[in-house]
Amino acid sequence: MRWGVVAVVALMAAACGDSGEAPDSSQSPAAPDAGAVDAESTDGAQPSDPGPDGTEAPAPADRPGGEIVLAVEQWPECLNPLTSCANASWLLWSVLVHVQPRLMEFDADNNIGASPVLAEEPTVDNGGAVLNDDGTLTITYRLSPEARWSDGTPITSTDVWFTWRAKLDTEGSLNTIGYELITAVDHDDPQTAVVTFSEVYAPWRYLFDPILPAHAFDGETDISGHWNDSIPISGGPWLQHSWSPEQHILVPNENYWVPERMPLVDRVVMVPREDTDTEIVALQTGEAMAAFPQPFPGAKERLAAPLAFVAGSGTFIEGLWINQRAPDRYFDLTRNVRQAVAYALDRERIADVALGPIIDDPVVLQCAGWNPAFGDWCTDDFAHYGQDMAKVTELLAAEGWTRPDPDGLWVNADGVELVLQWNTVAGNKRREDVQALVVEMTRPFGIGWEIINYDPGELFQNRLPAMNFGPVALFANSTNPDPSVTAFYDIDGIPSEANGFSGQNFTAYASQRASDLAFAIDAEIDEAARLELVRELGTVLGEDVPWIPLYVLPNLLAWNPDVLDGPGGWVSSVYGGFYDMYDWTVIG
Amino acid sequence: MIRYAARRLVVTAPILLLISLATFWAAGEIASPAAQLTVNPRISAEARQAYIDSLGLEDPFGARYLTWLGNFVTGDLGTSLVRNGQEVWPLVERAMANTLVLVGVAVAFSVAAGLAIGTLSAIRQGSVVDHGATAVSFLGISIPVFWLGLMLQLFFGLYLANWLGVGPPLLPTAGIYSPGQQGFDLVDRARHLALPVMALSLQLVAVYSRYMRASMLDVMGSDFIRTARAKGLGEPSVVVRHGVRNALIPVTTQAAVDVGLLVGGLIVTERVFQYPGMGLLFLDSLNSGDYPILLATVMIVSAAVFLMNLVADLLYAVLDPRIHRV
Repeated sequence: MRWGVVAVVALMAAACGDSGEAPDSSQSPAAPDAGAVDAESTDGAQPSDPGPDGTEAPAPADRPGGEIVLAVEQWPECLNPLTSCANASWLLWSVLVHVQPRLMEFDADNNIGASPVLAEEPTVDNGGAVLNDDGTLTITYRLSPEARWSDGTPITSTDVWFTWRAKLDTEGSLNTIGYELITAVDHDDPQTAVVTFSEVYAPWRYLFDPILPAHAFDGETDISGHWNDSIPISGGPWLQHSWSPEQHILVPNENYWVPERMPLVDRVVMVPREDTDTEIVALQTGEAMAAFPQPFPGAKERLAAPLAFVAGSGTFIEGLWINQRAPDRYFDLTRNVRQAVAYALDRERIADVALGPIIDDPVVLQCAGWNPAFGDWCTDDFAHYGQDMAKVTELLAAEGWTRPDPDGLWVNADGVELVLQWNTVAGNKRREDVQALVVEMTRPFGIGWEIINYDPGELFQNRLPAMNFGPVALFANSTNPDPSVTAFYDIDGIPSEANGFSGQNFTAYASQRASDLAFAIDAEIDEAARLELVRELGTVLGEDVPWIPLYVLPNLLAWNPDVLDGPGGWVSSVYGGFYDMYDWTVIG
Repeated sequence: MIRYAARRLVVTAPILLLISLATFWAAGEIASPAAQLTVNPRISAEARQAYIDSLGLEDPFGARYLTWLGNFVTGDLGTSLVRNGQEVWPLVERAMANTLVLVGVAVAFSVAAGLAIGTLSAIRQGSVVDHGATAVSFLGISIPVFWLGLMLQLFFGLYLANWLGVGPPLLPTAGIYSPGQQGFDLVDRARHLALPVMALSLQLVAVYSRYMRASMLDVMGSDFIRTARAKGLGEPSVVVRHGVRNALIPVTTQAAVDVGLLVGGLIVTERVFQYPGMGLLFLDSLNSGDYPILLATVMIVSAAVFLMNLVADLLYAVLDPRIHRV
């Protein structure tokens, strides 16, 4: 009886609740933190101050104006830049890169350099990066006196110090790697932040992205309770006007100090279009002007004229990840077995089937952990793997595998057939096509597969962290421009009960040599020496085959050229294809 | 009538409890909160333990279920695991309101259209109208919603506008209001409801018109209809006052049941039209393994189905007094 009453009350309450009303334009996002201001309060404040190079920022009156509508296919569920909210790529692409400043930043080709927040890039030559005699590393960031937050407060070294503390003190901080090695951030001089690391940390350039406004949090360095549904202060070209589950509105940050990045339109509205078909229809009907869709079969046809699109190398690499500790393995996944599988695959054909309907001339990934789009780290470590029956036979026979039926499967000394359980995301056509192809492709080589696919939540959030998958799984992993691959190959990072399943070495690849090399790469700041170490690790991985790299997933940026001018330059950027929308203009 | 309603509630309550038990078990299997806690290793031991305590994860299954049930009954649906501690209830409330609007409009429209078409078919049995309505009904029942949704989007959003030579789409293809729309606008909201309502209604209209046709044929052959005609009543009066009124019973009760089913069954429609209702919330929580939201959505939808079944039973009893006298 009580249930019935509760249900009635619940339904009545729901019926009386919000029926999808749009946020009122008169209300900027609630400013939960001290010092937070709304969009209107910054309008017109120093709109046309000269930039660092003396050029004038376009004042509102000079701005061509108009409104850009963008379709976003994964809607961030919350906005906090440090907690698990930041685990979503789309939080970065649709929100953070537009409103938050960083010390160092990538260009369109993913080369890193000083951001407008800095007066100069710290280098060994200018004394900005110093390797001390005691083994510590000191980085001195000289901040631009022009840099300021949207409320007019200067961006200072205190903000750098605060960001370091917030990274470490925030409950559930997603990534503290690197920040844990910092022993001090000297912020006595507002224009100079001196960061000291307890040891050499080569990827230091990628830290402090974003930096946070210390004055906005009242000195509270645990920011987990803040900025979950609005980011009221900006240090980027745009200022968040409002955000809700239905739309996200950005307006120009009139206090942005970089004239060449001042937005040319009056506002940008992003709307969720999570279904790919719906997303493309929105482009075709003109309801959205641009989209940054995941690669999908048929993209070349569906995004053809009158739409326009560009494809570029993406940041995700896809491959066959081999879990050597899989509960459902029927035999040990030895190096010989892993190599035999690699020698049974025609990876060019796999790349064609997976990406051919999306882009022209898909390229096979030949390294295990680096992205060819980022620098020279990726080379031909896996190029020697191609279909080779003699090699498969040699490798398996050496471990006692036999093939009683020349057309059948390999069988080991215990009578177990060479069958591998293989998981991927159920319903993902590209991956299921690859599975079908590989099953057919490896049959003549005597290798069988048992395909069990799961929904994404089950595979990535339940099975992967608990190492309860595979032994083979097909999925994509993100890569960074920095060559650090410690997360993939750190022996102590193999998720286990002992470490609370906290690592990301999902292949359970337990090579001390590879692990040491991965750490050595992190501790080497000389680029040439790092490249040598990367090459050495690449050779080890090419021999050990902890996983089999297949291809880089492409990025697509599509837009309607009849209504929008400017997109396309940042399609391969880690910041996403919308990053340079400050330069886009509305036609007509 | 009150005794009848009470009897139905007494029967419904244990079934709901059983469903809650099954749901609690299944949701835990699909999106284990314990597994969720391992996803972010940066959560401090204290926070992890506090969360474990709040969900009673270290308790036996029965105790854990009772803890959850107690919280649920008192309106405490917990906090999201992946939305940085957001309360579940406001998310569910917003989604439920949106879904009820969509379902309410779709069912109301479908009942009206279904009654009209079914009545016309029945009183002109065997005519071109009847055969046409029958053919269209079977077509409507057969078309999958995801395909129909896409076709509606393309037709009203693209092709029709192109043929007519007008710029913007005649009807918006997704969302619940236009991008950039601020504040409530009835016309804009209604325009955004049009396509999802059409997608939902095609099948409903088909079903209701079949029900109505069969019911009308049955009623129109009854003795009391012959008596009404013998008494000299005009045909419109016979059809509307005596025929339709009595034939309404099965359609009305079916519509009430459908409201309950649709509240939880709009996953495809809401996904295609990016309509932020219960279906989309359920799908998001399933994909992200957000156990508290998953549990809440499934439970509320189950309760809604039972509630609307109860409403259907009561409506039936109101419309046909013989029922609760039995």
